[in-house]
Amino acid sequence: MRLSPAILVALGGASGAATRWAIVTQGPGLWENLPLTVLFINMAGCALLGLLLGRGITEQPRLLLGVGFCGGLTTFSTFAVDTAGLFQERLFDEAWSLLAFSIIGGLVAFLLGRKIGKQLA
Amino acid sequence: MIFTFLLFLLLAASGAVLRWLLSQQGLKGTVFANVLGAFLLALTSDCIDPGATTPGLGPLGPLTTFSTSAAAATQPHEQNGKSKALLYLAATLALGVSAAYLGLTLSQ
Repeated sequence: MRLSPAILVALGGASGAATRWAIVTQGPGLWENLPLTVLFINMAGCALLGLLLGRGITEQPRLLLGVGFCGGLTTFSTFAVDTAGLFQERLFDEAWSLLAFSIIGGLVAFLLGRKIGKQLA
Repeated sequence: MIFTFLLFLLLAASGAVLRWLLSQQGLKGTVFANVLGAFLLALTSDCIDPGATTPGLGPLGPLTTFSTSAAAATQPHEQNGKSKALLYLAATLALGVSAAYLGLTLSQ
C-alpha cells in the first residue's frame, strides 16, 4: 500500500511527538539547570536517523521514520528556548554547556548511528 | 484529556507536514522552520524556567527538528565543503537561539 508523502510525514511526526511528550513527562527534567531529558531525546533521535540513513532506506520509510518520527521526536524549538532562557537568566555557564553538549552530542550520535547502520546494511 | 491528546496529535502532525513542505526549499527551508518554531514557542510560553516548555506546547516541537539539522550539518561537509556545513550549523544556532530570546523578551 502506498500512502501519500504528507500522510507518512504526519503519522511519523505525530508518533514522534507523542513519544517525546511521554518521555519528557516521565523523565528527570532538570539537572544542574540543564534540561537533560530533551538533550538525551535529541541525541537518541540523531542516532536513530543516522542508523536509518546509514543502513539505507527507501523513500516511504524515510518519510515515515526519518522525516516524520525522528523529526517529531527531536526538537530544535525546545532546545533554543531552553538555551535562550538560560542566557536571559544570566546562567551563562549552563547556557554554553547546553549548546556544546547538544551540538557535539547530536553530531556524534548521528555519525555513530550512521556507522552502525552501514555495518548492518 | 483524550480530546487534548487528540488535538496534540493533530497539531503535531500538522507541524511535521509544514516542516516537510518548507524543507522542499532546501536547507534554508529547514532553517526557517527551526527559527519560526523557536520564536513561536518562546512567544507562547508563559514559563521561562529551563526545560519546562515541552509538555504543554509539544505541537510546536515537530515543526522544528534537531535530527535533520545534525544530518544536514554533516552532509554539506561531505558534498560541498567544510565551510558550508559550519555556516549552516552556525546560522541555525545563532538565528534559532536569537529568535527564542526575542520571543521570551516579548512574552514578558
